[in-house]
Order: sequence, then C-alpha cells, then structure tokens
Amino acid sequence: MARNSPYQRARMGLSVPKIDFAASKATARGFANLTQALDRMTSQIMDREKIKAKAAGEDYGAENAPTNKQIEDAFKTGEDVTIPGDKGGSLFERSAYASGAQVISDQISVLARKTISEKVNEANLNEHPPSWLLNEINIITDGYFKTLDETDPKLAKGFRAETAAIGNSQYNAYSKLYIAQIKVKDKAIFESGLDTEYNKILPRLFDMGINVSADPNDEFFVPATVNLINGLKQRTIDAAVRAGYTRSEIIGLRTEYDKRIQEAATAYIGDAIRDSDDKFGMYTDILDGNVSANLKVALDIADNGIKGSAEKAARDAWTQSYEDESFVEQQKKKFRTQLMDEVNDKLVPSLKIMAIDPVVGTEEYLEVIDSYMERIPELASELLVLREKVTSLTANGNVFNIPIKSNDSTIAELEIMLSSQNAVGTGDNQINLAMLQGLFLDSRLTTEDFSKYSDIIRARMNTDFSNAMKTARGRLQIPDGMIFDFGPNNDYKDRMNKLGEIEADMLKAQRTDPNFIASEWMDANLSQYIESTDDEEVKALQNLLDDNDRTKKQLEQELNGKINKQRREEINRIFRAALDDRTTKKDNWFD
Amino acid sequence: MTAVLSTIGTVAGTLLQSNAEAAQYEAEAQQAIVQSRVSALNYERESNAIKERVLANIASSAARSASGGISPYESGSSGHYLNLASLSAASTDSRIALNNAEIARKMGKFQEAQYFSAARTTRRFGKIAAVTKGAINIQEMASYSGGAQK
Repeated sequence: MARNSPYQRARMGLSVPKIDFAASKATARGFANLTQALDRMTSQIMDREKIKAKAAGEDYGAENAPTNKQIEDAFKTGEDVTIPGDKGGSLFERSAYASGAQVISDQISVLARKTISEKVNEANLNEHPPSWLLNEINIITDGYFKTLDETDPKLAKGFRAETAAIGNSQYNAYSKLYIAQIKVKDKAIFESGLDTEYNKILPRLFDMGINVSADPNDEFFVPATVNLINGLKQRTIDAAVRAGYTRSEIIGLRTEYDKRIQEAATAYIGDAIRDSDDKFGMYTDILDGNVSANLKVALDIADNGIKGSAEKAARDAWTQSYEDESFVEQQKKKFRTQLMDEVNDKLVPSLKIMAIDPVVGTEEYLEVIDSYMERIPELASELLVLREKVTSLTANGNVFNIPIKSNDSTIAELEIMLSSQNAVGTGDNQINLAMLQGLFLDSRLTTEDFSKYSDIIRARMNTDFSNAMKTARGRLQIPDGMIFDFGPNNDYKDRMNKLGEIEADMLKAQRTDPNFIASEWMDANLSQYIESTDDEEVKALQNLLDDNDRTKKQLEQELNGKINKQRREEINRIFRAALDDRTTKKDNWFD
Repeated sequence: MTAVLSTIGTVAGTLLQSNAEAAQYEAEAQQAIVQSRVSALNYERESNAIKERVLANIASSAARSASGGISPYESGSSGHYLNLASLSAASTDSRIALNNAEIARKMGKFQEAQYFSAARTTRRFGKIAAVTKGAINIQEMASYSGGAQK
C-alpha cells in the first residue's frame, strides 16, 4: 500500500535584494574629485610661490657672490671666500647659497683657466720644461681649492677635479708640444753642427787633424788616423740618433759622411800632388806608399778608385810638370833667340860703322847693348860679354877691324861645334849668335862668314828644322827640353850623342842641298841612327805593346809591372808614344 | 587663443562626461524598478505553485486513505491530521513567497530612488568639476605665460 506523505516544505526564506547605494557613491566621488582639483590648484599656487622664492634666492645669491677681485685676494691670502645664503635654511636661502656657490665656482673656474693659460704662455715663451708647468698648475689648483675648501668642501672638491682635468689636458698638450719642439731643436742644433763638420772640419781633416779635446771650449788636435776618422763618423752618427734621426736618415747621413771623407781625401791627395816640388818623387812615393803620415791616412781611407786616380794624377802631374818645364824652356829659348837675332841685326850696322869710325861705331854699339840690357835682363849675361869685349877693345886703344879673311882655326872650330852640338842655346859650350858676335869683334870672321854662320844658327831656329829635331828626339826617346844627360847612370849619353850626329848631318845637308827640307830628310835618314839605341828591355816592352790582343788597361798593368824604377821616365815615354800610336790605329781604342 | 579653446574643451568635456554618467544612473534606475517587478512576480508565482502543490498533496492523501479504509476527512483521523500539517506548512511557504514579492517591489523602488539621486548628484558635481577644472586650467596657463595674464 502506498504510503501517505505530508506536504514537503520548500525550504524557502525571506530574500532581500542587494542594494547599490549609488547616490552616496556619486556624492563621495564628486567630493573626492572636487578635493583633488582643489589640491591641484593649491599645489599650483604653492609651486609658483616656490619658483618665486627660488628665483629671488638665486638673484640674491648671484648678486651677492664674491667678485673676481675678492676671489683673487682670497687665492693670494689662502683664505676662504664667503658664499651668500644658507645651505640649510629656507628655500630662498638655499637658492641663494646654491646660486652664489655656482657663480663662485664658475668665476674660480674661469680664473683658474685664465691663470693656467697664462702659465702655459709663459712656459712657451721661456721654454720651461713640462714639470715646471705641472707644478704651476698644481699651485693654481690647490690655491683656488683652498678658497672654497672650508666653506663648501664638496663644491671645492668638485672644482678641484674640474680644474685638475683642465690642467692635465693643458699639461699633456704642452708636454707633447715641448717634446716636439725639443726634438726639432735638437735636430736643428745637430744639423748646424753637421754643417760645420761638413764644411769646416772634414775638408781640413788631413791638414789639421781631429780635435780630441773633451772640453767644448778647448781644442786639442791630433793627426787624423783611420781609426780616429771612423770614430769621428760614429760620434756624429750617435749624435744624429740622439737628435731623433730616423733609420733612413741615418743611412743617408752615413753615405753622405763617407762621401765627404772621400772628397776630403781626394782633395788632400790632389793638393799634395799639385803642391809637391818633386812630381816624379811624389809619383814613385805614392806607388811605394812612402808618403807623409797625413797623406798615407788619406790614401788608406780613400776608396780603391780614388787611390788609382791618385796614382794616375801623380803620374799625370809628373808628366805635365816636365812638359810644362819643357814648354817654358822652349819658350824662353825661342824668345832669347828672337831677341838675339834682333840684337844682332841692330849691332851689325854699328860694327860696320866701327870699322870706319871706331868711336862713333863703339858708341852706337854700346848704346844698342845698353838699351837691350835694361829692357831684357835675360840677355844681360850674353850682352855683358859683348859689352866688355867692345869696352876693353876701345880701352886698349885697339881698333875694330873687319878682316879680309876669316881665321881658319876659328872657322874650323865653328864647323866642329856646329856639327857636334845638338842644340842652339845659351849653355856653356854652345854656339849662338852672341858667341858669333864675339868672334866677329875679335876680327876673326869676315862680314860674309859672320852672316853665313848667323844664317846657319838662325836656320836651327827654323820651325821645320826644329820639328825634325823633335822627331829625332822622340824616336831616340829623349825627353823634350833635355839638353844634357844629368842622370846618375848617364842613361841618355849614347842617345844624346846620336842626336848630335843627326843634327850635324842635317845641317850639312842643309848647307849642301838648296832644296833641303828638314822633315823629309829626317824621314829618309832617321832609321839608320835609331836601330842601335833600342836595348833589350825597351824591345821587350815594345813587343808587349805590339800585342794587339791586350786592352789599354791590361797594357798599362803589364807595363807598370815590368817597369824598372830607374827607367820609369823613359818607359813612360815609350808607353805614351806607343799608346798614342795604337789609339790612332785602332780609332776608338780606349778600353 | 589655444589656451581659451583648451579650457572650453575641458569644461565642456567634463560636463558631457558627468551628463553621460547621470544618464547611465537614470537608465540603471529604470532597470532596477523593472527587475524588482519581475522578481516580485516570480515570488507570487511561486506562492501559487505552493498552493497548487498542497492541494494535490491533500487530494492524493484522501485517495490513499480511502483506499486504506480510512476516512480521509473524518476529524481525528490520521488523514485529517496529515492534511492539516500539509496546509500549515504550505501556508507558511506561500506567505514567505508573497512577503518576498513585496520586499522585491519595495527594494526596487528604493534602488530606483538611489539611482535617480546619484544621477542628480553626478550632474551637479559635473558642473562644479567643470568650473574647477576650467579654473585650474586658466591658473596653470597663467603660470606658464608669466604675469601678463594674472
């Protein structure tokens, strides 16, 4: 059976809906907004007042900050400056203080910069070392630091840091500049010294020697040696290194220095050769190394090329010297001969007058002689002989007579002399116009004979005749200008005799042959005189020269090796003649 | 000129904002009253449902008693007591539901009044805020451009 059940409760309670009290909330929010707005308004007003107070404080601080002068005074006395306002006071006071401090800091900063700049300028002007500037900067920084140190340590420290940074940068810049300037200066000083060394010391290195005094104000010269010269060079290079020369500059300096030394050596050697009285001696001495200490050093330090050149220069100087002497001698001789010719022409008329009127003729004769003696002292000795002869003739009461026939023995003597003598000159035992005059005055020659022999003597001065004689001398290898053999071994005796023979024969031919031409005669007859003079050594050297396979240089070396010192002069002659010959034959044969 | 336009803008903006907020409150007031009516109606429907349920319960009880040989309506019978108990409980529930409907109606009115009041307050403060903001704007601008516009 179904069970009967009562009504079941709905378990339901009273329900009150939740209320949103929107009105109160809106009111509250409205008031909150209003309050916020009013706060903002107030804050704005406050801010404006703050700004005003701060601005006024700043104005006050700036206006009442210490002046530059006060700060400078404080710097000098080491006292602190006073900052307006109060660091812990009202906004106005704080602003005044901050503003005042800023103004002071700025002013000190400017003053410190200015003072540092002045010190930098001073350092530049006086070329103070950087350490001096650093010290000055420290003094400035510390001094200004102290003016603020007690008033406001924080500000003072900030200022010091800032000034120290400025000072440091100035110091660094100056240091760099200073070092650069020192370098430039060092280099300039060194180069000035180098210039002196190049132009004053090196050119006189071998004359004056080297100054080894350690005292720059003193001098103590010792003769140059190779070691000392090398030491001098090294000393200069060391100085260049200290003066900041770069590697390439040092290399350039070394090259230039060596070049200057070589130039000095060359110049010294050249001077020594040129100034030597004995050129041949100098040449042989250079070859043997038997020279003065200074010249030896110059030769030792000179390059091989210069040494070779020195030897060649000495040889050339020697060659040139006797060529010069020969030329001068020839010129002298020519001059005298021409003069004597002239005198002779002037004297002959007076001699003719003398034959008629001895007094007048003698006067005129003496007048001519005296006029030439004054003008031409070179003829004095010869003219004096004639003058004495005429004077003694007159004094002894003798009368000058022109003989009808010449003295036979005189003629014979003249012939012998003319045939045996090789040159016309002024030396003893030589025939000349003055001598002929003497014989004429002694009445030993007729006018005809006098004229005839005058002509012969003049013929010897004939260019063609002279050239022919020169050829003969050349082929006989007798030096130009050589009149007698002064050599210790009578090297030229035979050849001088041979030359005499040649001249005598040529004069004979001149007398007998109306169409005589000296050069032609010489070409035709010379070979027969020369054959016998070639000795074996000369022949050997001649053969050497005939070897066409050798170059000029090789020949030179060979000849130098074979030359006997005693015969150098002669060999050189052969060498030169042969080389000239070869050069002509081989055209451009120079190597 | 820009400053003036800006100030006008601020004032107008503030007014419009407060008006919008007030309008929202007014809308919410309308909604609150409607919602309270719906709620009251639901409570009333529930009260009716309770009554229907108790009647059904009594009917079924009578039927069961009868089927069991018991007089359902006889005073002093079990069926009679059972029905009394059911009616008592159902009337309590029904009253609660009706009370709830009443509360909902009244609270809805209260809520509506709250929202209308908030709308009015918002509008009023909106005007004040607009004036204040305008004033602050003017003051601020005066501080920017110096004493010339003080």
